[in-house]
Amino acid sequence: MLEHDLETWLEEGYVSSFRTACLILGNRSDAEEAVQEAYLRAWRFRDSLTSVPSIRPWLYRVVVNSCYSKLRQEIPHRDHRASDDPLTGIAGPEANPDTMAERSEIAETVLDALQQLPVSLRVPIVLRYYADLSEKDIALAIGRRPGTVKSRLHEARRRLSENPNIAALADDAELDQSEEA
Amino acid sequence: MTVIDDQLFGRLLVETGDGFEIPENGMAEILRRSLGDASRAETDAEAESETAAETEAETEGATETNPLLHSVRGTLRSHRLLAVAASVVVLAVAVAGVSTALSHHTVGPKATSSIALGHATAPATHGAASTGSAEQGPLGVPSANAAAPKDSTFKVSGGAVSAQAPASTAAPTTGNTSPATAPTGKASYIEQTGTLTLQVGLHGVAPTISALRNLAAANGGYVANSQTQANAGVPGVAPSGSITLQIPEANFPAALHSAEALGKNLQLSTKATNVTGNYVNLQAQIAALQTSLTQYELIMTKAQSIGDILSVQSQVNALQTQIQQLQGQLQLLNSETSYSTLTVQVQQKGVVIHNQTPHHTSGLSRAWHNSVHGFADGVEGIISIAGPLLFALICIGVLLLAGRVSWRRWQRHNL
Repeated sequence: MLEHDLETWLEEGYVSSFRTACLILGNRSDAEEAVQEAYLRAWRFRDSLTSVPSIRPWLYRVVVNSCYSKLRQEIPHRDHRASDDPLTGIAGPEANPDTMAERSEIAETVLDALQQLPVSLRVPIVLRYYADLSEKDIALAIGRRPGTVKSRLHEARRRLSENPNIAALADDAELDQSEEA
Repeated sequence: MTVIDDQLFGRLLVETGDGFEIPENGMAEILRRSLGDASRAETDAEAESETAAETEAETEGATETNPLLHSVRGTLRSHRLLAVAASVVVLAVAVAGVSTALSHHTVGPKATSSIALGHATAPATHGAASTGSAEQGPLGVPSANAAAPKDSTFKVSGGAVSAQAPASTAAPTTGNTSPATAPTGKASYIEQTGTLTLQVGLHGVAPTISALRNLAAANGGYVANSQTQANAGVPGVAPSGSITLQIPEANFPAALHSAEALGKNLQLSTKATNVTGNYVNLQAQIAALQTSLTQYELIMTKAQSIGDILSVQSQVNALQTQIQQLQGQLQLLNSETSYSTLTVQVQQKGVVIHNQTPHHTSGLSRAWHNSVHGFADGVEGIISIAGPLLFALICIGVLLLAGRVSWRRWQRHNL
C-alpha cells in the first residue's frame, strides 16, 4: 500500500519535480540527487500528511528545500564537474539537428538568465511558470506569504525582461507570431 | 524595454524545462531506496568521483538497515539547533558557576583576615619628625581578678595597652577573666574602629586635642594615645596632632558626632569587625586547658616520689602559662569589643593631606582632572555593564535559537 503510494507520487510528480529542480539548480546531476533526497525525505515524513490539504505543493516544498540545501551546502564548496554543464542532457524527442540546435540555444539563454537571478527570485518564477503553481501554492512551497510571492514574481519578471537575451527571444517570438498571423 | 507577458514566460520555461532528459533509473532508484534495498552498486559506481555524495549515500544505506540508528540520526539532525542552544545554556551555566566559585574563593581570605586577632587599634607613632609625646591613657582593660596570675601580660601593637599597669579606679570593669563567667550576654562581639581627619584654624590644634580628651572622659572613655607636633619656628610646616580615644561601644556614635563638630571633617572612615568566632574559640581553648590542669593537679596529689611531683609540676606550670596567655587574649578581645577605637588626626588649615584629592587651582588642570576621571568612570561603567549585557545576549541568543527551531517545526507541521 505504502509502496504504491510512493509510486503514485513518483508517477504523478517525478518528471515535473526533476525538471523544476533542473531549472533551479541549473544541471541534471544535482537535480537528480536533490529530487531523490526530496522524495525519500517526503516518504520518511509521510505521517505528517494528515494535516496537509494538498500534497502537490507539499512535495514541491520538499523538493525546493532539497534544492536550497544543495545550493547552500554542497554546490558552493565543490569544483565544477562535467555533469554540472547545464546543457548536458538537454535533448528533445526530435531528431532534427536544426530543431535541437534552436532548442539548445533557447535553453541556454533561459538557463543563463535564470542563473543570474538570485535564488529567492528564481524559485518562485520556476514554480509559477514551469510547475504552474498558483501564488498561494508557491507561498506554501517556499514558506512565505502570498504577498511576498507576488512581489518576488514581479521583481523576477522585471529582471528577466531587462535581460537583453530574453528580450531578444521575446522579439523573435513576437516576429514568429506575426508571421504566422 | 520589451514587455514579456506571462504566456511567453511560461513557454520559455516550459520549453527549457522539458528539454531536460529524465533519468532512466530515477524513479526506480527512489523506490529501491525507500524499500531499504542495500544493493547500491550502480549508484555508488556512478558517484565514485563524488566523495561527499558517496559518503552520504553509504550512510543512508547503513541507516536504512538499522531503524533505531536511523531514528536517532534523524532526531539529532532535526534537533541540531536545539542541541546547539542547549549547549550554549550549559556553557553559560558552567561559566557562571566557575566565576561564582572563583569569587567565593577570593572573598574567603578577606573574611578570615577581618577577624584576625591582634588587630592594631592604636595608630602607629609618627616618624622622627614627631616632636610630641606619646602618653599612656588610663587602663581601660578589665583587670585580672585575684585568681589570675600576676604576671599575666599581653600587649597591643604600639604598646598602648598593658595588663601590667595598675588598674585605674576610673577604669571600667566590665570584663571577667574566668572563661566560665565571661560575659556571654552579647549576641556577637564587634570590634569597631574609626578614623577621622579634622582641619582646624590657626592655633587650633592644641585646643582641639584638649577638647577630644574631654570628649573621651565625657563619654566614659579614655585616651589611649596622643601625639602633637608643634613645629614652632619651622617655616612652612603647620602644627598637627593625633589622638586615639577608647570610647565605650554604646557611646561611639555620639562621640564620633561630637568629634566631627570640632573642626572641618576632611575624611572619615569607620570599620566594624565581627570577632565572635575568635572569642568563642579562645573560651573553648581555655576550658580545655583548665580541664587538663585539674587532672594534672589531681595526679599531683597522688604523686609520692619527688621525681613524679617535679614532672607533674612542670606540666602544670606549662598549662597555667598557656591558660594565662589565652586569658590575656580574651581580655584584650573583650576590651576591644567593649571599647571602640577612634583615631582623630588634627591638621591646621593649610596642611595638605596626602591622601586627599589634589587641589587644582587652574581651570585647565581641573578640566584635565575631570576628563581623566570621566574616562575612568566610563571604563568602569562599560566593565560593570559588560557582565549583565553578556548574560542578556546569551539569553536573547538562546531565545532566538529556540524560536527559530519552533518556527521551523511549526512550518513543517503545517505543510
